Amino acid sequence: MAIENIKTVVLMMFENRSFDNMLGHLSFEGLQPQADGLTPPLNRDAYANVQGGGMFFPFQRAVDEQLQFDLPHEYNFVATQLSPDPGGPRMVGFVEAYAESTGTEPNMLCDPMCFFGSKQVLITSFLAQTFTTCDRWFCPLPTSTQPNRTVAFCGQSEIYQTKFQDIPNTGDMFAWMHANNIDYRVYSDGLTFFSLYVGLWPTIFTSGRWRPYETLAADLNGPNPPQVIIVEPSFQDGPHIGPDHANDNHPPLAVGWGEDLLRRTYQALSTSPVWDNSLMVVYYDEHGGFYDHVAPPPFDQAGTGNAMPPGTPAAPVPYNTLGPRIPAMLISPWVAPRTVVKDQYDHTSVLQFLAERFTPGRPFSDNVARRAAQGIKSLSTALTATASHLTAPAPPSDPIAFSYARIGDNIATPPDSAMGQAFEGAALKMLAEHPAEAEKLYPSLGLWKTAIDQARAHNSSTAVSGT
Amino acid sequence: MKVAYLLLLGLAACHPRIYFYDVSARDLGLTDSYSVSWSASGSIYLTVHDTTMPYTTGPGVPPVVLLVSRDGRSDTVLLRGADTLRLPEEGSLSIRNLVDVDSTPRFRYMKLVAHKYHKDSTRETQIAFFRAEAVGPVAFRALPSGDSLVAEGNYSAQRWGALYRILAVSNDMGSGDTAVLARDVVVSHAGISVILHPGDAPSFVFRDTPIDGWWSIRSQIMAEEKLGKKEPSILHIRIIVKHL
Repeated sequence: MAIENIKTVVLMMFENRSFDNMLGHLSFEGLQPQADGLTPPLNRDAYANVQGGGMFFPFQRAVDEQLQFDLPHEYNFVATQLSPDPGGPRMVGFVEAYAESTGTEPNMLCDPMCFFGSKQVLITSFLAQTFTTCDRWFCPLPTSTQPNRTVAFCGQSEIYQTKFQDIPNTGDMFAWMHANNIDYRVYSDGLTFFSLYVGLWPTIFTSGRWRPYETLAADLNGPNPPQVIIVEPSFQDGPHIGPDHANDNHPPLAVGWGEDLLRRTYQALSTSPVWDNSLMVVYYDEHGGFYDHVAPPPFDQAGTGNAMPPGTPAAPVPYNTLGPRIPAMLISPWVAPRTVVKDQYDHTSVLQFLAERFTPGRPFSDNVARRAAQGIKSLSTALTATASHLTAPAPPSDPIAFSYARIGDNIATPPDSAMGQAFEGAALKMLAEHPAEAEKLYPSLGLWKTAIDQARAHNSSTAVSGT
Repeated sequence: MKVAYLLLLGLAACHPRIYFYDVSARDLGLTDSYSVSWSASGSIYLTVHDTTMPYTTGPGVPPVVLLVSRDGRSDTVLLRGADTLRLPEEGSLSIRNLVDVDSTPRFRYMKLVAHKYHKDSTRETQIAFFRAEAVGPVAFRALPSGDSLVAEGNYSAQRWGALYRILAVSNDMGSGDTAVLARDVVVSHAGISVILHPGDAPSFVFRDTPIDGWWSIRSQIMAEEKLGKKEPSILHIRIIVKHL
């Protein structure tokens, strides 16, 4: 049975890109015609979005560069983007949501409609062409970052929107792994996303399982590699110190730094002794406001333990589908090379798989089982009985064009974004309530606090004096 | 070490900002004037870069000379590839292409960049330049209403601006996408209604009316759609517009 060949699972979740944005080029360029990406001609009704009487079509970005704005992706904007009617989502409102959120007249080539060519997402494209691409992997909820990541790691979400809040970690996978004696570690290239879950702080501070990303390669070559590895990028909305740069691919960030992190992570895994029995999952939390042409299927979210947006009886929020498609790849000697898997996945497909592998016969949770009953498959459906690529292909060594990253912009003033406020609030609370533990795990966090205090004091004094 | 970190962070806090950036139009005739206004901090410059129109192929755009007016003074700038204009932290420009009206339609990227301490803040606007006579869509999301699909809304005044008027309209449903059924549409705009049949010659019934304002496009749900074929998400027509 192939599933038993997998002894190490590496989970690498990036931020805020749709399938078409990152992998639509696979079919457009004829690199992987089986993939349900974009196909020429792009200016046809099937891809059209409308706003202000105009039509907007997908277009390939000329260069990978920072966007002007983050794109809207909160539940209310996702409802506009999906533009549901009785026949299901129509996917015609991405530009409309963008115009509404930015207050600008959209350009004819409007950022939500852009996609990357293979040369711009060199490593993503290489991995998608070399291993298995999943072209029916939807984010679990038609909403934003925090709820979708919560489902990814807890199997359910008691929140429906992203804001500065203490996120309940009910059913989290760390408690599940602890209870089932599964060895795991979290390697973070910055402040961990799990800092937003106060209930996880004791585990984060005392387990010794949260480590700097720089130690990943050495640990993979060490005597006891963990069974489950979570690799976290440096989040754009997180606190940043000095020359640090984000690499989570969250708009408006360009994706070059994320491509570099992906290459380093794949290299670390594929050149380690762990490779022969590993499965690396590269996926995204949600679509980030980028257009995708495949409508998500109907789904009973309330029946799977998820909080529902309030809405009103007269205007209920459409929350009865999965979220938009996200880019996802399965990288392993135990997947069929150069293939596209059409099974319907969401983030709980990972949890299903972990349970199949490590607690056979016992599902991860009742809510994950309920999602499975609605058609969400386990990643095990993509595994093969025989191995390929036991010698892992080397990734392209071409230089990656790094675009300017706007890190540091939010130091003098509090962050504008909900995620920025959430990260900053969590970091400040950690420093206030657990200063020793926080600075031990994140030695530069205290310096960051000093810096924002000084910058904001300076900012407010210049505002008062008018200089 | 700590001092170095704080110095670095202090510099990071001094980032450039763009407070305001506006380009007065999105679709223009080749010799129309447009204005650019801005307010920003840092070293400010405007990059101007022309490309061919989107969704078309062909040779690159020939160079064009820009007439740039500021503070009562006019300069000419030969735009070759991507050119840069240095600007003060706030102000406005009036810009016009010095070309013949039959020159190549083009797509212009106007990017305002504020630069400070190795950081950039940018805003970019795209302008489409058309010949005196040009073609474009009017399109709205289609919603079912009884036996009909209804697509209606306001056409943005920022598109085409005040310098173009409608010359003719035609029905292009199904013409560019085989997945969409060709169908009759009833179009209402500027107090006028007309039925447009697929394949018919353009109608001049809206001649000389403005493009912006309220439009309604209606169509019967077709027999195939009542039997399960997916209805179109959008109803659209093609408009031929003419520069004043």
